[in-house]
Amino acid sequence: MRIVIGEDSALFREGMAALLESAGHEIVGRAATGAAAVAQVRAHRPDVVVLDVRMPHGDEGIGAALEIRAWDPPTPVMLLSQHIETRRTVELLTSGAIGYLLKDRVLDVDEFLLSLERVAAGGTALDPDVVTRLLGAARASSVLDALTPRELDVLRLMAEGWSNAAIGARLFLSERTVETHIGSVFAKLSLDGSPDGNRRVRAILAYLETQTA
Amino acid sequence: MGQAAGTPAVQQARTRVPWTTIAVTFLVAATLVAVVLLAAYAGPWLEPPDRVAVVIAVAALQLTLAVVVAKAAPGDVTGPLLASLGLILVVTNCVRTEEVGIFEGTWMLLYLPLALVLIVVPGGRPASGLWRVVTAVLCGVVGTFVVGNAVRSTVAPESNELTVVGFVLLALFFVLVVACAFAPFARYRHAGALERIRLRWVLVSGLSLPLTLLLCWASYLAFGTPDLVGIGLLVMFLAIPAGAAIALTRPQLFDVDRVTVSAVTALVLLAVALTGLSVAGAAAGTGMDEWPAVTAAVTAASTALACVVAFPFARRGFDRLLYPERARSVAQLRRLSWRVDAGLEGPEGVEDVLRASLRDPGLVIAYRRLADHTLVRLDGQLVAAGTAFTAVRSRGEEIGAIVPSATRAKRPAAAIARATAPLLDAVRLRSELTIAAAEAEASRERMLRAGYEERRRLERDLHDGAQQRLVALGMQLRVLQRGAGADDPIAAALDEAVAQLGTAVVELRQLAHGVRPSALDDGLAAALAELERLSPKTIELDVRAGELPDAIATTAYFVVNEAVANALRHAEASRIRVLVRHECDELLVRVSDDGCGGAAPRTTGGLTGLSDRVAALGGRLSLRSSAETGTTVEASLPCGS
Repeated sequence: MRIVIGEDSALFREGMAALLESAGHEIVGRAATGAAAVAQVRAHRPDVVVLDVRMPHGDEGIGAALEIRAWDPPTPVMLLSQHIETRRTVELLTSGAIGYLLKDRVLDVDEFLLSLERVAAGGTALDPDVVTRLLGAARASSVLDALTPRELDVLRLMAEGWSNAAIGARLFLSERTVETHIGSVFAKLSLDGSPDGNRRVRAILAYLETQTA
Repeated sequence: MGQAAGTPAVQQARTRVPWTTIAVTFLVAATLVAVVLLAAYAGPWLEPPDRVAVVIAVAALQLTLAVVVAKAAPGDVTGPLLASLGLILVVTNCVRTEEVGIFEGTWMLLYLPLALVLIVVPGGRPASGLWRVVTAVLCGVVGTFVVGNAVRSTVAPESNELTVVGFVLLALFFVLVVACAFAPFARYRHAGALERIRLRWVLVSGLSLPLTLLLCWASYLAFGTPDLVGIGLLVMFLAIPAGAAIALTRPQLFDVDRVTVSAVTALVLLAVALTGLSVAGAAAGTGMDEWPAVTAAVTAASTALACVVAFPFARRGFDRLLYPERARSVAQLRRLSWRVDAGLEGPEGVEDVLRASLRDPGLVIAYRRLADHTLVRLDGQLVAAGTAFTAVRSRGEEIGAIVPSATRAKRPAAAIARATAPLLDAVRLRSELTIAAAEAEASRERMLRAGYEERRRLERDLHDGAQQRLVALGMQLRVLQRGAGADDPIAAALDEAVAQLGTAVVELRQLAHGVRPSALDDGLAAALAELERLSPKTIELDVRAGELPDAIATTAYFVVNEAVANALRHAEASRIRVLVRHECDELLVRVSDDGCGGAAPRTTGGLTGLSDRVAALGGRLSLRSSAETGTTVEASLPCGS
């Protein structure tokens, strides 16, 4: 893949570049600020952009991501953050072709590369912590009281962006059982259960957002 | 006088010494010379030594007052007038004027400075053209009389009869002196507030004139001769200069109204007593001077005793009569004091009471702050420097002031200040205490907020600094690992190193989380949900709270965190329930468990710290703990925006 990296810490930026290159990807642009990252993306039209949420002037990364996402066609963006902040990101996450991970997930290289590819393909990759926080907030306002613990687990993994098969593998369930759970979750939350994985995540996130806002 | 003022004016320009200082110095020197000359040459014409001593003592006092006045009011003619009084007193009263013909008319000189003082004080000049004429005519009359008498005694020493001219001059003199007694009254009507206070002093000192008359009466009554008049004159010669000196130098020295009331009371009592004695004499058919000595002494003593006993009552009566406002104020202040003592009212009402009773809606009560002694109003506003006020004292210390409106230059009486003192003392301590408590509370809250801000910064620094570096290092190791190939033993070692780094990052994240959970950025509900997720036991969360101020949310989070930690650590609880409600501008946080209880604020140090945090935000933390019902920690935090 052709990748642009936007990251203000040179140490981290070069580390990331070396890691991605060692995995066979091509780094077509490096930027230390949000504006520079936007310019690089405009010049090189990469397959995916890796952006640090926090750059010198506050959460520049989110501003840059929003700008890039507004173009037609939108370039996939993988946001990396030192800590989770859902307040400004939820809106962004409902658009698809987006990822939002904690920086230390990078150390689990194989899974990180999988997530990056999923995002580049138009999918979604959400950090489990982000999902927990969204679900937690929704649960605190008791909208998820109707779900069984197992259904909550399924919902959590759906929100992270996994496919039915991947969810089944992680929970040691058959894909068919997973589908049953999903149907039940959608029915209890009165959501439109589309088969398309990405639209499914978007529906869930939109739902969580309206419940926690 | 005009000439006297003219010549030294030139001198003043040259040497900057006021002419009055020069005149007073000259007159003092002249008096000393006169004393020395009299002692040396007067011989047989000198009065008896005791009388000379009294005269010189009185003159010395007058000269001292003259010096004080000349210093305090340079350029004011009063100083030289008082000094000339000393000189004249020595010259005319140490010599037997009836023996020295040339001195025969000089007694009139003695009254001239006194009359002029009444005309010129305060201000240093006659109040109007009319009074200038009076001054000039009086000087002319006295001058003519003195010179005329001297000439007559030289030319025809044997003729002792009063001439027609002499009679006219005498009559004119009496009329003018009586007129001078009215000069302060004429001035009073147009005077400003401070000038009125000065004039009151002059008027009070003028009461020595009726005193002299009353003494004359008493003297005739008791001894059949006017001998006591001498004492009255002596008093007058001291009282009027003293009154003028106080008026010009320190008009606020004493409460002039109080002095006036006392003096008037004494005079009236004296008059009443004398009337009684006169009536008694008339009824007995013989004058008191012809009574047996014992009867006279007993009568006089009992009359004096009655006067002494009656004095305070009479004074209060006159006080009410002459100054009804003050009497009303003091009575109302006493009533308020009583009501405050009885717990019916707060002492803060003192300002309203004084405003109403003194009919001054702009009046302000101020107290001296304990910390820096600055004068402040009850609402904490500073009182401008230079404002006229009556000081209020308690236990010898100035604790505050009654500040009348700017339009009222007359300050409230000292009696009012005394009645105000206990009330103001209470007001002062109360408001100082309130301010101190509020300040302590505010500073506690500031420290808490600063602490939370510090935690937020530390948390960010941990994330952006050390944590980020460790992750970057981990990535470099991963790159090396990938380059090494899967079966290289180095790769396994590197994998292990990255795993260690990952643990370090997690620990760092937990450390930062303990400092301040970043989930708080997303609200209290999100932070508590994370707390629940990380907890080893299920926590039943029931959180209904909208947007909260950061300090409130953080405190609430720490309350739950500590209470849950306690329950997990000590209580052996099977259920932990957290309830958060935001209702009526108050956030209620309740953490209850079904454990074995036994939690007490003293044994659980963490709860004590929490209690301080909650109190810093004006909230309350309560703890109920028993073996039957488990432990409940409840905090309520006011969060009215």
